[in-house]
Amino acid sequence: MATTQDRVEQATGLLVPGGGEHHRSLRQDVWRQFKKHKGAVVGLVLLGLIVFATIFGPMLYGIDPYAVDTSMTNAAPSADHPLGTDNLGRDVLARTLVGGRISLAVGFAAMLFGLILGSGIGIISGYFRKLDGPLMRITDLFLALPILPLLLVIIMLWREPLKAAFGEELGIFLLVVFVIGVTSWMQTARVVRGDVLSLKEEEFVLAANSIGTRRRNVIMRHILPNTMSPIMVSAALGVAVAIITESALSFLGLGFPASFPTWGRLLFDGTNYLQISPLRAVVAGALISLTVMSVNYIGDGLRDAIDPRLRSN
Amino acid sequence: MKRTRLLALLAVLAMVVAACGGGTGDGTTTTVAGGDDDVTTTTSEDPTETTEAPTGGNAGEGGHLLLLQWQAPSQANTYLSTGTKDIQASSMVLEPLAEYNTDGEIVPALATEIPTVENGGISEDLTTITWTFQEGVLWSDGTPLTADDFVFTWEYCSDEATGCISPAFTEVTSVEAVDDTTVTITFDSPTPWPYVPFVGNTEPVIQRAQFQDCVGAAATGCTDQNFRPIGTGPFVVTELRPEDTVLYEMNPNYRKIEEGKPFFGTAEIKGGGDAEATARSVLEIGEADYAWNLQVAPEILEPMEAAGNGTVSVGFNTSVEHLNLNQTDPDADPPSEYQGDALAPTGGTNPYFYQNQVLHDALSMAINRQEMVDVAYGPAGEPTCNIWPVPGDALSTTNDWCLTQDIEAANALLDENGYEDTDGDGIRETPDGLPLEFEVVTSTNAVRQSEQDLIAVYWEQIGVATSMRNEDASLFFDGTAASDASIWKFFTDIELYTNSAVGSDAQGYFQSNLASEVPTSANAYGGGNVVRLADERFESTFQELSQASLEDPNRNELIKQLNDLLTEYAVIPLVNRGSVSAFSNSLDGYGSVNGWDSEYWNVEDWVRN
Amino acid sequence: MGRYIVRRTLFAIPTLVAISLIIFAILDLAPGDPTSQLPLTLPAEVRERIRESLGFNQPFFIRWLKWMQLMFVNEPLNAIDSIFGTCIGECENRARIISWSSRAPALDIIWQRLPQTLWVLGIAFVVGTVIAIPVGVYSAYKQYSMFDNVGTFVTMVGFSVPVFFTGVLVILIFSVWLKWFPSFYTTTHVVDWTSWDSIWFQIKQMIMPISVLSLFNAAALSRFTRASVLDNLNEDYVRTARSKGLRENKVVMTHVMRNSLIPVVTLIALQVPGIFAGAIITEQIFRINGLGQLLIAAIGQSDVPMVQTLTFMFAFLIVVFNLVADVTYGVMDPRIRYD
Repeated sequence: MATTQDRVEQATGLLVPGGGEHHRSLRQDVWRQFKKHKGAVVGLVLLGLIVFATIFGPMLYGIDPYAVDTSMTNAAPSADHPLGTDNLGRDVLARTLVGGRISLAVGFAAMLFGLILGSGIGIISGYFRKLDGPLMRITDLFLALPILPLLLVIIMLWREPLKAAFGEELGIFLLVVFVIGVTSWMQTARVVRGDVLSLKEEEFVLAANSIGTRRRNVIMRHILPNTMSPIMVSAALGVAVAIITESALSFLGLGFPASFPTWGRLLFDGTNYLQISPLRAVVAGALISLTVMSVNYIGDGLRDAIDPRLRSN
Repeated sequence: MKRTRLLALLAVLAMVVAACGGGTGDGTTTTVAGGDDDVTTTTSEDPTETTEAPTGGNAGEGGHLLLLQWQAPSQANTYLSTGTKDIQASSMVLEPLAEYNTDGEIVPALATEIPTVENGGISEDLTTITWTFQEGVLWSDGTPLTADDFVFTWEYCSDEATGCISPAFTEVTSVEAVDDTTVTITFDSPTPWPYVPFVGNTEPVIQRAQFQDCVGAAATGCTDQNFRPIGTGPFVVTELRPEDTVLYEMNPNYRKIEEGKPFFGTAEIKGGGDAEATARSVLEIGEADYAWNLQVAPEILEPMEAAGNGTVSVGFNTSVEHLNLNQTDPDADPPSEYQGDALAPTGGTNPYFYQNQVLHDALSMAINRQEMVDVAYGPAGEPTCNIWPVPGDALSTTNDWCLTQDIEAANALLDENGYEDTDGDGIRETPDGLPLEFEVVTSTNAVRQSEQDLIAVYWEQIGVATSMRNEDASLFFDGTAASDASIWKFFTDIELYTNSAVGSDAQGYFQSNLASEVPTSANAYGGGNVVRLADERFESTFQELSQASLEDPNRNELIKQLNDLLTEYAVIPLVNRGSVSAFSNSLDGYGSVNGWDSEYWNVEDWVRN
Repeated sequence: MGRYIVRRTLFAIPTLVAISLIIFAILDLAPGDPTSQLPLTLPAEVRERIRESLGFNQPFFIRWLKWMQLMFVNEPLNAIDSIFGTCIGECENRARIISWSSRAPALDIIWQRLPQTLWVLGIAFVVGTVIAIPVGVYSAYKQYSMFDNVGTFVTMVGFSVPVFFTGVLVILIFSVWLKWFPSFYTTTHVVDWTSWDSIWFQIKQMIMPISVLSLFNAAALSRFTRASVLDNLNEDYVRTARSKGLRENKVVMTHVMRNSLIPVVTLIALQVPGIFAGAIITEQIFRINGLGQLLIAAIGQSDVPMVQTLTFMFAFLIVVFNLVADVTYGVMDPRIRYD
């Protein structure tokens, strides 16, 4: 648990003398500790590279990932096609880069959705006694739902209406993000609620209340910043889970449609060609693994860094 | 310590439940012995081990036959099947009077000969057909097969509450037992093609004694009967695990035992996985003897076959992958329906495709069917320009121009007929100014999506823009009125899928394209004329055909004409699809894959070399 | 404690009812035709007859109530009858939940399948746990050492690489190229414990899925164990114990372990239902025809009763194991008293 000193420091924004000659803010402290965790740093760099490659790569690379060329099916890697072509002659590297955009977008969006939902419910539940009971029962209910089976069924059910309403790409994107988000907020809610319950009794919150701070401000300015640590760790894990879930759905044939090259879809399609053109599946699978690993390392580093006991003065 | 005790308890619990459940859950036996004691149900680990072929009387000594069906059977009663997988499973046990051979010809199974008008089997007025079957045939429980069992099968299927899937009896008024081995079927009207009831492995005979309490609503509760039907075929079911495995052993009362058939003492249909995995098992790894329905891309299948453990065999029938050009307007209100009389519509016709041969031909000419086959089907497909593709005297040749892709000619044809690109956006417009932009819908399936990709490219070169969509197969082929995406509703411009006939009944096939069969909101979209063809010439030609007797040589001409009329402006045939299966090289006697009937139709002849 | 258990159990019942309604509603709204896989040549009247005979066309509420009655009354009665050999009420003609594809009672099929799932996934779970805990404890104890770093890396890999990726690679290498292990799982193999061949056959067909799965399970669990032990190692009582002169062995194994394993054990209990959910993907890859494969097949065939029953069973397991986890937590941690 953080010491009262740390909490007051955050709440009032003042620096506490006696910690050394240098002025240090919490953010700098966390960053310093984070840098010590080698794995986390490597993860951050790797993730940055992957994100950069998927955002700018397709523009820099130039080849159309959707261009069908039946004269060049299943070609081996060459100067024109560094990773070869697939069974319809489409360039594998181009598809992998574009696929990354969709996979990462789904990962971050789903995580964000689940995070906002979970933190919101956790904070409200922890702070407002009267709502705690019902909200926790709802959380229990969601926790009790078997996720993957319902995910499969919901996707089969709602695919068509959403496709009709928003177009194929956006429709499925919304569906997958919603479905992943709505089935992964529970852990965050529970953890945040636990934190809020104990924070409510802290002296600085009592102090804030006694000077008449409005409830909304108490939550936003005092409670929320102090729950950031479990929230951020949840965020990191959430991205990992979202990317894997999207790949799993594609692997079961239920994710994005065939024309959309997400990494999961590429892995699914490429599995049968492993002996002919292994790069298709291997590169997609490796990228999923690397991204998830980097995110997990970052989460690990964050957890270590934010925990004040591990930060040395 | 409490903690360790708890952990230990959990671990022990898991292992105990697992070990106890390691056997069967319902108490039936799993290990089978087909005459020898050392035959087990494990996979044949060395399929190339040689055994001598049995010489008369040594039936059942050939060991174990392992068949892989990636769609696992759910139960073994043909008449309650949910798909071909179940029909295959039951065809090992149940038999019909006659079946289809690999060329699509009807050959006797239980019957002694095929009835015709000439041999007196079919009455002159074409309303009855009389079958005589072999004497002395026994059910697997030792009781004799009698004509009464055929009567019972009809009663079973005619009871609406049974949920029998066979369409064979809808026009049958009665099935009578003339004597112990003779059955007469009476139709409600003259039927020149009466070879539907009890013909083909989709129409076998079931035993009255076994199923008598299973008629009507009780059919569902008869799990024992549905899982282990008593039949006259070469095998009996010893255990059936739905969606998993079916185990068989030799039928001790099979009529061909003296000939040494079946060779195998036990058999197994193992389900699960996907088409590629089962192909790999047989062809690359050599773990199994046969793999069914290999919808696998050719470039994956060919190297597998090259491994030398097995052979890929293709059987063609009437399955033609084709494009339906909607004759009605999907944007009208209500969509995809004619207004007025279908043959003289006053509204709701499609502004692009209704009786428009020019556009149809241009679209057809632009497609490179050979390339589609090479990319998507390999040996499992053949380019075709006919909706009735069966080789023989009824095969039309007037459409063969479509086999060669000719973009220039297609462009020229459109140019000559007023399909100009007036606004320079690369897309032609009809003479009335409508841009040639179409939506093409098919089911979600890698092969179909690659076909769509290719078609989009071809049509782009003649100034036609397409938007390709795919729907999940369960919605696309949803016959209830619930799914707006179903082929019957046709709420779009163009559909792509495969249709096939029942056996080799061309007449029945074309009958579904009559104007009276158009699916509309009035008949809950329950008609077979999906493309909504409404052509007077088609109607009158069909009338002629339905009145011509089977021996009339003119029938073939009429079939060709119907084929040509259907493909004149409404349908674009693309690929004749065959059934693809893989056989281990250690198997012999199967001939080739039967695309017309169950692929196990001659399983009693299969031997290990 | 007793009151707490009773209270939680009583609460579980309305939870299950609510869940059953949600599952039922979601599945009911799903479009899908149980006759969609039959040949297209089938006339519409025949299809309609089939659907009628399956009870497809009755209104929602009637079907839900009927299903509830079957699930909560008939099926338990049937289970009691078959286990104890009794005959309660109308045991001969008792209606049961029937699968649309196979026309057989859904729970019979599920019961038949259960061993397949448990054999492979259950053992993988146990193996994973047995590996994870010592690794996690030692990693935490020697934080940032070589063991910890390598261990962290391996567990990170195990945790991040999706099971369907490793599974596919493993099959390619060991089944297709090396031909050491079979590429599919024979569910009908009965292990004859006296025959080494029989046992070896079972081991051979289980070894690939178990290795892949236990790596994944171990990875997740060992990270959690490590975190939990780390939390405890820095507590004051550890410092006290050491300064008292207790042997290091006793400090760690008796005091630290005891406290660290509390959350770990509850996590284990919470993960048990995950066995069945994780089954869905693993069984597809290794062609083990267990509960996961059954679910996928049932969804694909629009076999609504089977999907409802399976999904409800998963939910039931989750609720039960949540309760087990909470009770275990209460039993193991004297600081928590619910009364």
